[in-house]
Amino acid sequence: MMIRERISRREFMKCAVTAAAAVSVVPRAVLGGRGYLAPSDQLTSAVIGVGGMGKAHLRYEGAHLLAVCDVDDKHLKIALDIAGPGVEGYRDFREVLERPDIDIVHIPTPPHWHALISIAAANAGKDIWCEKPMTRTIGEGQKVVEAVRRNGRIFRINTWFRFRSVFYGFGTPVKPIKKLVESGWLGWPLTATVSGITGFDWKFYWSGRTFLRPQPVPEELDYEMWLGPAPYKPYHPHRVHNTFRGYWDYDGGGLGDMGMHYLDPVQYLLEKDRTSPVRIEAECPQQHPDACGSWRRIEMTYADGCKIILDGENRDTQAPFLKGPQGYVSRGMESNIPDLEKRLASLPDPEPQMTDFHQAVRTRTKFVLHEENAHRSCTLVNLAKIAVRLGRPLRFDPDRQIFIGDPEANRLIHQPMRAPWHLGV
Amino acid sequence: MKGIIHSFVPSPYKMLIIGVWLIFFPALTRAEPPQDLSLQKQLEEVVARFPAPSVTERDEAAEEFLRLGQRGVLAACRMLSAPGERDDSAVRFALHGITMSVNRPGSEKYRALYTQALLKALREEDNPEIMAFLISQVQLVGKDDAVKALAGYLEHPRLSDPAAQALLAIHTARAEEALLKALPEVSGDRKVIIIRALGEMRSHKSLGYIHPFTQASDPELREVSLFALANIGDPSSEAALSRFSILASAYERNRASSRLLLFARRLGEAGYRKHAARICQGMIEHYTSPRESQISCAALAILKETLGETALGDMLRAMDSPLRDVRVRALALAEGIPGKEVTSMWLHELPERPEKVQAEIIAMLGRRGDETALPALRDALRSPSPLVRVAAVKAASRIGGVAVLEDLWPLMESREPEEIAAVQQAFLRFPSERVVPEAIARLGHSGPLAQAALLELLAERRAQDAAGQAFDLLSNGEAAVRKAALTALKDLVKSEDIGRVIELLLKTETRSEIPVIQDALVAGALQISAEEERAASILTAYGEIPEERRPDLLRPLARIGGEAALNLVIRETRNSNSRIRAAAVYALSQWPELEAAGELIRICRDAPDRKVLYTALQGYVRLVGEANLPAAQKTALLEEAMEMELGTQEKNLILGGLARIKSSAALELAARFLDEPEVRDRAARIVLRIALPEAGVDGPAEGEIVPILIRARPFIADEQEQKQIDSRIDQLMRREGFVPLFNGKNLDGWMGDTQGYAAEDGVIVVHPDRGSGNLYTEEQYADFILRFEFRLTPGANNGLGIRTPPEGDAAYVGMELQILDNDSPKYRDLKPYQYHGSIYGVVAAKRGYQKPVGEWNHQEVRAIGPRVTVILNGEVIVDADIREASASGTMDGREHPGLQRDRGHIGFLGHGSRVEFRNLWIKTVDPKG
Repeated sequence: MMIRERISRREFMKCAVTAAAAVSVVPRAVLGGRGYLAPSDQLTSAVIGVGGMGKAHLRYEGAHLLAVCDVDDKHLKIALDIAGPGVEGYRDFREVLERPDIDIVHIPTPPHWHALISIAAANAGKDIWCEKPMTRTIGEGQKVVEAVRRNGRIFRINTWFRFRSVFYGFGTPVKPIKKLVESGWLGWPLTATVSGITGFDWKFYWSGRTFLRPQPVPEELDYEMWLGPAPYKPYHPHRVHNTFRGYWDYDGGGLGDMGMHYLDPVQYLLEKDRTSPVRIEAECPQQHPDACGSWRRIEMTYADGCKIILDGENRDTQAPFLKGPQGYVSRGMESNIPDLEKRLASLPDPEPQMTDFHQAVRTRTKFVLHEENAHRSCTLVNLAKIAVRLGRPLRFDPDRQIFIGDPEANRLIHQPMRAPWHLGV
Repeated sequence: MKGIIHSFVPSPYKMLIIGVWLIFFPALTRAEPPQDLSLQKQLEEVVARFPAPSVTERDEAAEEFLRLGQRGVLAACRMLSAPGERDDSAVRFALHGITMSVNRPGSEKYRALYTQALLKALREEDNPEIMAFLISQVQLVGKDDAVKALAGYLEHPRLSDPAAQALLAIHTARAEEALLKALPEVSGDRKVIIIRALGEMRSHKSLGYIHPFTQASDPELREVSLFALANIGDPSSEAALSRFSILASAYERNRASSRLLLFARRLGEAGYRKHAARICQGMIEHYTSPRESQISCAALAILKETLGETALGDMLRAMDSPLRDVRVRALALAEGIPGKEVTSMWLHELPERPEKVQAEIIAMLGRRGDETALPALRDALRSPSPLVRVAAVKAASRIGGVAVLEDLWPLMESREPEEIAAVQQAFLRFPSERVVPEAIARLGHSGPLAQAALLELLAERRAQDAAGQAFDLLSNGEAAVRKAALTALKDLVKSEDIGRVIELLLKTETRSEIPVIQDALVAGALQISAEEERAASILTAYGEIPEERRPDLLRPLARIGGEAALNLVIRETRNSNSRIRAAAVYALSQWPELEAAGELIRICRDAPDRKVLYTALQGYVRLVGEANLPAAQKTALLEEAMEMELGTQEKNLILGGLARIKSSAALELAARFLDEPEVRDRAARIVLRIALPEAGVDGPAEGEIVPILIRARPFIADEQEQKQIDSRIDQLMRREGFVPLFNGKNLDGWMGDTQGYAAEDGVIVVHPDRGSGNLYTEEQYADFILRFEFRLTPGANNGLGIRTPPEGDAAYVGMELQILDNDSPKYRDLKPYQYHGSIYGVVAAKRGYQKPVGEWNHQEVRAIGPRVTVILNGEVIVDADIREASASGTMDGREHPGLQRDRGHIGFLGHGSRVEFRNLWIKTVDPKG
């Protein structure tokens, strides 16, 4: 695992309010170990990465926040203000993981940090609430799955459409669509089209810039630590905070940003939580080595013939969201099946899911969007990214999770990290 | 072969030559050498093909590029610039395009050639950031043929890590050897990098080298060495990995155990199963603190990976653990061990265990799915422990399906909400015909908790046969049951129940129940197939109920629709009772059919207050937006609304409506708001949205877009949107036949006072301190349309020369269109022919259309034959035939021979003031056409 001279060790940002804090939380662990307490017991949490999305995590309910961490002091100050008394600030996530009184760590950092921190957290016995996309590469995702599973940790990825909220243009949650698929009325295999036509926006404005004039690193930012495992590139504000999405080193543009929101439910609907596509093809302009650009169409095919089509230019104006040999369903739940809503009502529910993360932590039950299905849906995003970058048709082995007959493509599945960071332990 | 070897070895002689070159011609190192002009030209052509619009074109361009051979790639690499020095994205696109093209399977020949060229370029380069870029490309294409060259950078302070990463990506025996060879030679930090890489490669050969560093004083080096030993997984490393300081922090203890577990895993994978198992079992025994439960979990997992099904004993033993994590983990691992005997072993365990553990084992048996467990699970449904029963409900229904239905019904009468929820969830997994009739039969005589759960179930299944009972249960006295029954009604009611629902609505005294009942009312009404009859019973009831309850019946009408309902709602918008009026306006604003629009706009016009205006306008804009009407008609309807007196919020509503209509008229209407300070920022964004192309939509006429975008441009604050607007303007200008007169970067294409004028970030700036002469285009123009923007400083004076020779006073030898801050007190005594825009001395311009000093002005100049037109910020300020204007003498009474010229340069005529110009576009026109 990662070892780095820990310069900031014990250099906690003590804020004056902590001393006067009236809140006292008895950590679960002290009271006799995980799973030993009544369901009313208080879980504790920390948020690592408190800019952008991180600020939202400060307000998630269900656990008592004890620590926040960021490599940008400005973020840290704002977060401490929001969090209020009793919360300590850190610059180094390893110091957060060292605290025995923290049960859950939230990881809303940029994606290039997700794997390292998730694995470190799993090894330190923490449960994990990780921002999407789960990991920046498929290789990193495999390691997170291993570490979380092996250590018996509870993991959730921060997307939710497969179990709650109205699913984009559908006017309903995913559940009735799932029931429809399970009914067999559409036939099999299914083709899913994810485009503006079917209700999804690929957000191409999350593209990077191809020419950046280096700028001095702002005093409040530990840029070395922000980069962490990513290759060194001279600092420019567009690389970091909020706009990092536009660079391959950290994310993957709109595809990286929205991909899991859109594709995780598709994977669930197509019953592909334990596998991945075998063929991936992209139609796109050539990509820049550093900055993510746009693409036109990405087609991913599973071994049983099910297909996911990402239509970036809304070319297929008649495409339904799901189409099988016998039927289709489109945004707004439009379908060729008459009286659909009523007929769906009489069908059995899909398999029940654990949708309360904190309850999952208390009962040591897998959360509905756990490390394994989240890794598979993030793999869809990562496969699409690789296909766009390489621009050639790829064949994928979903079990071994490598490309077949294309060793150079595999270099994008397992991308080395900058030393001394590595995913070894 | 010899040649290749030679190219690997940096010759000291060659280095010397490069050194000398550097000293004497430092400025030339990036652009050299100009000796091969044809290569340079070919190169420029092929680089210009990147970024390729498609992958096919990328691959074709890459192939053409590589036909230039190594020297082509080398020359391209020389075009790379240090970060920020100048925009080299074209060549980065080109090189990366080749990288991704030649690393295809089957491109071996080109790959090898390209790799060697990259490595050669790397040797010639001295800027570390460019070198890092080159190595990043080698990382994607290099094979054994790149190893030796990469190894040369392992000592380099900036490039050691990129080189090691590239070697890791290559991942061959030769790469391993290169790292091994470098390890003793490199210093300090670089050892960390190399040991990290060797560890990741699981290099057994490196064990001996790495071992000493596990005792290093540098903590980073020590840690990375221990990681490497663990990951390599040789039995000899156990002692080093088992040792850690008693004084170590929790974090370090934790890391030591993680390493030891990794080591055990690697041992197991290598076939040292017993050794691995011994380590894991030892750890399970040693780490019993609740804060370290993850260690036992991981040890169990590795036992399972290592020992396979024979690890069952360890899993059974783990049931003794007081830690829930550990038990749950062991059970998850055991889930994968199949067999009837195994099932009976687990069942045998059950009675021995505390109820909590029983529940955990039962849950596992359910997931495991062996049917032979079913009889025992059925028994567990009758366990005295609710915890066990809940687990058994899930497990038994999972394995048995509908077969256990009869066993589950009695549990519905439980007093435990969790148990009832579990049964309800199990029922939801069964088809309606198996659960609905029984649920209806039981509904009347179940306990209140069960009644609520059954009502939810029946609602989910739309069991309309249960509607009567749901009505009955409303009055059974239990609040939870009433709530469940009310919520269920919308899914259960039939059209004939409408009367009862209305009655319910009128009787309730609880405000929060009203919307729920209204939902039921709407659901019932929508089931009537004849649309015009849907609202009939509501309308009948409406006349008979007291006034204060009428709003409750009005609101849902919007969701039902129909002419009679619409008429009632319209009538009530004029009611004297303000509550009824408000409800009617609201209902009308939500109306589903376009018929309501006319009435809504009337309400807007007569609105007594802002709230009514806003509500009605919102409905109007929505209806227009949703209507199936041609774009022209929609905009006409919105324009009608714009004729009223509106506040900011209302203007924003209309803008929102316009954004959805992508037409010329909508664009023009949105642009009207650009003059209104409180909404212009939003208007600018809407203008942009309308102006951006959208697949499948025709959009506004292209010719009309640019002037409006230029007006909107200053109010767009977002950087991304600025980029969008600029590129849209660029695209449309080019399509209209305009070409840029200024490249934004330098004064290429201009001549004259290139000291006093400078190109700065897309702007031509006049620096009067450096000189304030004239700047002319190199080209001459006869008939043309020129568009540009300018920004003045207080009292500034400049001029735009057209059809002028590049020397002399353009006002007389050519034509000068005045550029002047004519509001400055300095120019109090200006003659009309000196106002801004005037053809100096010849034609006077209209005054008063300049933006305040410091803001950008947009100007278009048309010079076509004898006609000269000047349009400033959208206003024609000069439109004259110069021959006619000067026929009876010029305004200043002077000779203007330049008026006779039919062509000449365009120029900026300096008069000692700071002035800025940007976005200069020109289109030459045929005067006859």
